[in-house]
Amino acid sequence: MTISYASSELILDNLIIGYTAPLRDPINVQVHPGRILGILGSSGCGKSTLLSTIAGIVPALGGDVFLDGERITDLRIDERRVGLVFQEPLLFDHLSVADNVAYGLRRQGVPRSQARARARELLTWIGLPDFDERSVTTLSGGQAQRIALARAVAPAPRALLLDEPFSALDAPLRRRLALETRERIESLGIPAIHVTHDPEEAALICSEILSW
Amino acid sequence: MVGAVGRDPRTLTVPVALRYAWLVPAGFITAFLLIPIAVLIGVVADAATLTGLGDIGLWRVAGLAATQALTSVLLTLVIGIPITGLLYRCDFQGRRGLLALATVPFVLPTVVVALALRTLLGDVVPQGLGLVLIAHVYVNLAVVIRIVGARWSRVDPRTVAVARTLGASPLTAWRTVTVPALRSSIGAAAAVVFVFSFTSLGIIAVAGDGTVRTLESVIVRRTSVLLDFPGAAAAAFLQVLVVTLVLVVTVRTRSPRTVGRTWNPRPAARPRTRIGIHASAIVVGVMLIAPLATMALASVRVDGAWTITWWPELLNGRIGVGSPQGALIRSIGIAVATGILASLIGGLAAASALAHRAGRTVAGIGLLPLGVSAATLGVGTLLAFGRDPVDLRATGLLIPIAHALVAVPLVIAVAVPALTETSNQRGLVAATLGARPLRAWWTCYGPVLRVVMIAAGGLAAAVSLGEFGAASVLARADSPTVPVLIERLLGRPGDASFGVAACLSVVLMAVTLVLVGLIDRLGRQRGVPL
Repeated sequence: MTISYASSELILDNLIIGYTAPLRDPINVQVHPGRILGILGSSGCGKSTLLSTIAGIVPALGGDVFLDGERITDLRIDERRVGLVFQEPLLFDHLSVADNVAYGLRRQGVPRSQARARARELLTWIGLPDFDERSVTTLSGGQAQRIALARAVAPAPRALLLDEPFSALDAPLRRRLALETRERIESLGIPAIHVTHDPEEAALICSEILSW
Repeated sequence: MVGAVGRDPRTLTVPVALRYAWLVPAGFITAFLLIPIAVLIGVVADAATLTGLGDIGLWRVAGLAATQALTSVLLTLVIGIPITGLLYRCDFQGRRGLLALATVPFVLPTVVVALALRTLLGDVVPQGLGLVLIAHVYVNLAVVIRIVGARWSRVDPRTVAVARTLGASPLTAWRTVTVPALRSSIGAAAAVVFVFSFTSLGIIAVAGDGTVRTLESVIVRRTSVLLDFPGAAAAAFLQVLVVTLVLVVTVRTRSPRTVGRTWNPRPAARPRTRIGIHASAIVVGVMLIAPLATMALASVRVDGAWTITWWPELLNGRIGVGSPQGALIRSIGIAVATGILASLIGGLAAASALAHRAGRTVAGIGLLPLGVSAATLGVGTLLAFGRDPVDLRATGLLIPIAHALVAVPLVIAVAVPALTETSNQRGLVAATLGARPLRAWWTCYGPVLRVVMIAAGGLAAAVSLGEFGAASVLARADSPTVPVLIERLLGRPGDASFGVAACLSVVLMAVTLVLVGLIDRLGRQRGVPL
């Protein structure tokens, strides 16, 4: 099954990250559609802060973020259309699997039946076709993380940010999911940034790697 | 010799002394809770009282009290939930202090709180339903903040961030992600606030205008003024029924207890948000402290001038409705007796719960008074032990016993979690070094139990100092407790009555705050969650 979105380019222009003081020198990065930039570094080096800044959770201390030619630095989180997947799946416990995946579509005003139909397509895309009515509390770690990925891509984000999404999984599953995710992001044709402290995982999933 | 390690090598042998310790709390609870309730039911089952249950006026009071309680719940949630978010999800300087301050109105005697609000708002909001509702919100804010906050601090803030990246506005993310996660805790807080407001007495007496009534006020009036015991029993029975119904529905609809890590709040990243948070914190702080400060000021001001006229009256005892000095001595004596009694009974129940199935049952039954109002306990105690064949009225024990019953659930609620969260490894080490079962058990749990019993005794004393419902029913006309005397003083005209009531309120407020502050400090110093 092929699912593709409009191509866009993610540019970080002299971006300064940090909560009150800069964590690093200004960051200059360009990620092309369908490519996955890996950022490899130890804990506390600012990897997660970078993703939070691009997503709009943490304001930039300086510089700019451009997506598809549009300056998004001052946009609210919900206006940026940037997908984010954390280390834990963080699924919404009170919603079914399909309603989790459909959540972003519902926020765009898509009627519930259409959003759920689209969610079922995405569940098939991630290899969990019959999971739509399941409670998220019954899922394994790998299943939950794949559903988190489907939920992030459902509302057609213009870029995808992955914050060590496989680090809580065991090694064989981590390897398999990393390869699957790479294929899927490439097929979506959107830029992605993947941060990790694991060089092997970075080598598996990323098109290019920056070491911090 | 009995080994100190149990059959399962991960457990300690239960010391013989502890195997039968549950008999003490069981005996106390049977004698002073179950028997009075049985006597109360017996009185209600009497034909005359059954007729009393058909009294349409009683049902009208119940209906109005339920409407008042539901309104109190709604207002407390609307005001309390945003404050909870401020205190548990935003970090700012003084956050912990504000959290402690928000708990203060809940631990203060209700008559004191009502008088404080009456003094502050009297010109704007006259005595009546409006002031009663404001007082209920003020007192119960702590319930919402503590219950909902405990759950909110376990909601991963990144879940909300994910919802925002998926296109949810702040309000939509709150409605679709945060509220569902908090739903069961909001329900639990609502139930507690409903019960407190439905059974309210001190606030009704001081902030009400005589037209606002609860079944609790009906019970006290029928017992103390009309001497209509069957009528009081009927009102108490109806109140117990409603409260039990609310608690059963709450327990049945409760979600499983959430465990997991606690997420500490982080400072807001955006300067504008930081300013908003600080401004909100200042508003909340002023809102919480203003009534208490007004109360303190009222005790030293008359007609716009500073004075300490009323303070010597506390010692001179020239007030017509009773001696303030006598009431203070009496209340402190009752509080000390209550503290000792409640910490012994509650502590033994909690220790037994750790060791024995019967102990766990007794600890469970010991929580029952939570669902029975203080005035109901008072009427039950009076019916069972205030007349032949067992008449304890002359002994002065009735009020400490009733107060201990009110306080025992709090002691159990503090002691059981503290003991169950204590690892038994220290005891196992002691056992391997040759300690006998009692010594090994005490090495493990003794330090915690000692702190918990002292703290719980202090808490019980604080509860006793401010308790109004049971004391209204049980206190003799010539020997009121401080809250009862305050209420009587407020029923008399004149500046002197109000002035002395204000001074007594300030004394109660100060003693309660010192007690609660010491308990909090003790818990933090010894690392025991209280």
